[in-house]
Parts: sequence; structure tokens; C-alpha cells
Amino acid sequence: MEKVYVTGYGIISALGAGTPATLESLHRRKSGIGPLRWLESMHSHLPCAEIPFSTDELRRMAGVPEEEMTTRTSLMGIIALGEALEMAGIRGKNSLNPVLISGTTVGGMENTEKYFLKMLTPDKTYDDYILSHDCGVCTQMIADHYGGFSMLSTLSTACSSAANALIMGSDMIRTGRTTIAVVGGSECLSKFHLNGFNTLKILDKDPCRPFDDTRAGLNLGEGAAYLVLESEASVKARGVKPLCLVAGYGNACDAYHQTASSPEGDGAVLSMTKALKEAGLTPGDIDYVNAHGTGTPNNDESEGKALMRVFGADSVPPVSSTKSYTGHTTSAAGGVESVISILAMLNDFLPVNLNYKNPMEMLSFRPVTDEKPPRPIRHVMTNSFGFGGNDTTCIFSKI
Amino acid sequence: MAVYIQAAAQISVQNPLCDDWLDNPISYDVPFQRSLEADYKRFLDPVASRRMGKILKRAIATSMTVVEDTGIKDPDAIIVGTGLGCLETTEKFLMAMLEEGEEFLQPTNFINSTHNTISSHIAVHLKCTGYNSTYVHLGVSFESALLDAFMQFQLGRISSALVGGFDEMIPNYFKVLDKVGFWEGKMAGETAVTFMLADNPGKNPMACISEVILMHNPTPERIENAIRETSSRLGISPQDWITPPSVKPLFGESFTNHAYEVYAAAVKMQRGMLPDNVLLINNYRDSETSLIFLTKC
Repeated sequence: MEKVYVTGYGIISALGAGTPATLESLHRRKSGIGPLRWLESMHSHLPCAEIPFSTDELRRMAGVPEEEMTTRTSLMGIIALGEALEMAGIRGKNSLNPVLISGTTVGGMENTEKYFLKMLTPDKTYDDYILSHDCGVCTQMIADHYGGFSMLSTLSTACSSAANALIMGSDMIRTGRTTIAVVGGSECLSKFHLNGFNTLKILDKDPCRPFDDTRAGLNLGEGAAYLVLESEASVKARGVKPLCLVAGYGNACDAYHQTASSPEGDGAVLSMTKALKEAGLTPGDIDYVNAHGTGTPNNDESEGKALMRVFGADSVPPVSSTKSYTGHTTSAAGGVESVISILAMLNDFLPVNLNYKNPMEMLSFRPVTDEKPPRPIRHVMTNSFGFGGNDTTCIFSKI
Repeated sequence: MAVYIQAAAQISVQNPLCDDWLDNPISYDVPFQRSLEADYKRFLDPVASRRMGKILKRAIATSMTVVEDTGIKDPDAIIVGTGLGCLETTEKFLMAMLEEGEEFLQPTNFINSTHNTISSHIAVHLKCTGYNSTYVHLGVSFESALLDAFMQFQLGRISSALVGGFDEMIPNYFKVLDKVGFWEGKMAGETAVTFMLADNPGKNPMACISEVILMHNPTPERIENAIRETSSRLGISPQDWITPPSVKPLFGESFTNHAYEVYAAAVKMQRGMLPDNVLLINNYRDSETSLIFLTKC
């Protein structure tokens, strides 16, 4: 099958804007989880991982004029996409006609939740915000800020949205529909999301403790990340050095329950197995797994058991959840964690799983507590699982 | 490579789950019309049915219909396009939060508010653990889902796929979109169309999908070029494509209503009411364009 290379990436999260800030926080074991700063909610006792910039600051960083209608999700996306395009050396080179495939779940809900009641009155002041409500508009705003994108699409498979965007973009390259696909996702924190997750009683009032026996839930985060994917022909024609390879990916459905994972992680086993098969790798080849690892009792047990089934109870590779740094960036998580996995691989270190103390009895493995990898990292796997059992696994390999 | 449309089913403002609209179309003279409901007892037990919003019931009913029509009980992929997702439950959760505050919210409406609720409900209902995805890209959400399915066939990963376009419209959302002139005088409606696609014709195929192309802000030249290139690849003269009159006035406006164009064209091609090569073009607000090339099986 046609090779798909990564030639650039960009990221913004609670760890800051850009790859250097992200890398530094990971090395220094510095989490972005803390008290709410920007979002107005009565649930301010719940720690979240907000991006350390106000929406006005993001607007200035993204270079979006004051008068232009936008959303926090779009601004974050614009900033992350800018870094990715810059790194790949394709910013402003519109003749390359890349496609943009983006994942998001509530789109412009942050505006809708502010203005919907006003829109329902005869007052027309806020009506235009309805046009920024749906997910696709965010993708358009992100793409049109730079221009030159020949095709756009938007995915919404809950917390695996950005990972599935990576599949769509890679498949577009593999079927010859494009030579460059920019993929990822963006999602800001909204009152809608915070309250929604809160009703499910899966938000921890303390910083999350993935794969710890005392884990009590997740912390919501916000973030955006994009990867520039490119065909071999395009890499050669442009004379650029690719950063790594998209080795394989797998998408499967748990088909078990709307919000809970199956107890033995059936969907997760399928997505990981499919990804390994497509990458032409064996489980023993994987040097690091960036787990979905939300920190909920259900996910970590189900995913943990799935990892044991795929890799064998005695040979699970180093596993960590970086949601202990970025919070759960929901639809963007597949992008954020793909970038983090690639950073780990290219810089040969294992992101330490923060807040881990007590082993989970039913699991044979412990999450990463030492940054030094037992062997050089050549292949990394990252899991993104969504409500509705939308499970996706991506594998990246060193060149 | 061709992908066969083995079956298709719709629920709309026309009589549900049948092709009555062809001979006895129902016409409306209203700005906004919700779909006529099917008899869901055939597909869902009453307890499950009560818990589901309209869009989910329609998705299950149209999906079960194409499963019954084709005998494909376990499709390799379930891919959904929806512009606005489960709008009714989203609004319920949102309004409760805005009017009653953040204290006493219930999880059910949040759980059923995510866009992928539809594809995952179909998966749970059919017990399908295969490829599952949901596209939410404005007026080409359905075509995005169709393109994904087409690529999965091209890459040899699947031999069958259930692909649907679903949207619901609610009075408040209709009203606000009306305030900004979104409907342009056309009747607002809803969408529920499901297709069963396969790499083989089955017993009685409706039509073949030969190519799906999406474009952002295309110039007329780019569209012409895409048609010329696709035609030459398929060995068909660019002049031989016909675009039938739109059926959108019959079904109403909705983010995914282009699914009705594909459905109607496939029904007519199966009955020999259209020539062998049909090109369906969707232009959503001059920013997103789709081309779907259908050919006789």
C-alpha cells in the first residue's frame, strides 16, 4: 500500500501553544490541569485543562481581526494548523491544494450556549452566531484563514474524531485523491460539555489518575492538533525530509453501549489488532502505547484488559496516558496524542503517567513512571476511544 | 471499480419506507414540515423506542429495511453523515442548562446528543463491530460519508457498507435559521435515508456508484476538469452524463437532503426511468461542492 508520511505537526493545549512548550512540559512532568480560568460555570470545583490563553489572546495569536465572527475552537485550530503548515513548509503554498480533515464534537456550541435564548427573541443582534453552531463551519473557518485547501471534511465520532480524521486523510492519499492531507481536530471547553460529562458522573474533582487503582474519573481539557500527511511522490517532488511514517490504523466499533466500554475491551482489541495488521507489525514491535487512558474506572480497566489481550499479559509495552497533562481534549485527543506520541518517538523518551501510585489489581502492567525507554523507540501506538464505542488506533513509525 | 447500491430506504415528508412519492407525491405549502413517521413497532420494542429521539428511530427503521431487503445482516462498515446530529436531544439538554441552571441536569439527553449517537445506535442494534464513522460537514455531510465508504471499498477493506444521511429540524432551530434567511424561501425539512452498498450486485441492484468527489470553493473550471478526468477514466464521454431534475422540492431542505437525490436517482435507474449515466451535483452555499457519478449496473 502507498506510504503515508508525516511532514509537519502543530499543537495547542493546556501545556501551551506549540511543540516546544508541549515537549518541555512533558519532560518536566508539568500538568496543565488546574482550576477553571476562562469558562464560566458553577462547577468551578472541577479541575480542567484549559489552554492558558483567553479567547481574546487566542484571537491575537491567530491573527483573526476583532470584527470577524469566530469560535474559540476555530482560533485554537488556526494556531495549531499554522504550526503544522509552517513545519511542513507548505504555508502559503496554495498551489499544493492540500485537503483538510478535522474532527470536532460540539463545534460552535460555546457561542450557541451564550446566545441561543437571545436568538429566540425578536432581537437580531446575535442571530449570526447560529451560522457558527455546526461543526463544519469551524473547519471552514480554520481552513479559510490560510486558504488554498481544495477539499474539507469534518468528523464527529466523539473522542476518536481526530483519529478518524487521520484515517480519512491517509485513505485520500492512498486512493490517489490528494498528495497532501492535513488532519486532526480542535475542541474548546464548553459549558455544554462540562455539564454533559458531569451528569455522567465521570469527572474527578481531583487531578485525574489514569491506570491508578484510586482513579475516580477524567478531567476535561481543550486542545487542537494537526498533522500534515504526505504521499511519497509529494515528499520527493518537494525535496523534504519526512519526520515519520503513518504505519497503520484501525477503526472498530465496540457495539456494546452508548457511553460504557465493553468489560473486556472488545472494540479496543479490534482497533489495535487492525492497526497492527495494516502496519505489517507484530505486537512485539510496539515500543510505546499512548493509551486513551481517561482515568475513569470503566475505561482504564477495559482498555487495560484489551492491551493485555493484544500484547499478552507478560509483554505489554510501556503504556502511559498523557491525559494527566492535557486533560481529556475529547474530539481533539486523537490529534493531540498523535503529536505527543510522535514527539516521544522522535525524542526517544516515554511521557511519564502522572499521579500514578497504586497498581490496578486486574492489570498485569504498570504505567510508565520512568522517562527513559528500555529500548530505542521505533514504533508508537496511540488509542482514541469515543462514546458509542467508536474505537480507533493509530501507529507511527520512525523512518 | 464499482460499488453497487443494493437497497435504499427513506423516511421523509413523503410516505415512509416506500416509493409512493414517485407516483403519488405529497405536496406541501408550508415553510417547515417535519417527516411523516413510519410504524416503528416493526423494528423496535416499545421500551427502546420511547428512549429514542425521532432521528434515531428513523435511522434504525431505514437501516433495518435495507438489511431486510438485502439480507446483509452484518455490514462491514456503518458510516453516517449528519449536518446537525441529534438536534432535538441537544436542544433539550441545552435548554435545561440555560433555563434551569447547571444543577439538576439529566444524563440521557447528553448521551443522545452526540453526532455519532446515530451510527453507534445502528451498530449496537445490528451488533456490528466493523468500521464505524460519522461525518458532520455542512451540506456535504452525507457525501463525506459516501466518499469514505467508497474509499474503504477501493482499498479492499470492506465488501459491504451501510451508509446513511440523517438530520432532524426542530421549531426553535428552524426559527433562528429563518431569521438569518437561511431557508431562502424553500421548505425546511428533515432527512433519513439509508443505503446498503456492496462490492457485488446482489439480487436486484439499483445503480452503481462510480466516483464521489468533494471540493471546497471550486471554480467552474475545476468542476469541469473533474468531470472530464472522471469520464475519461470511466470510459464515458463527458457529454453523456445527465443530471435529473432535483427532487429536493419534494423532500424539503436539510443539511443532508442530497441523500434524497441519490436515493431518487437510484430508484429511477432501477426502473429504467433514467439514462445509464447520472451525475449528481450538490453546491452548498457556494463553498462545498460534491459530484456523485452513478452508472447503470
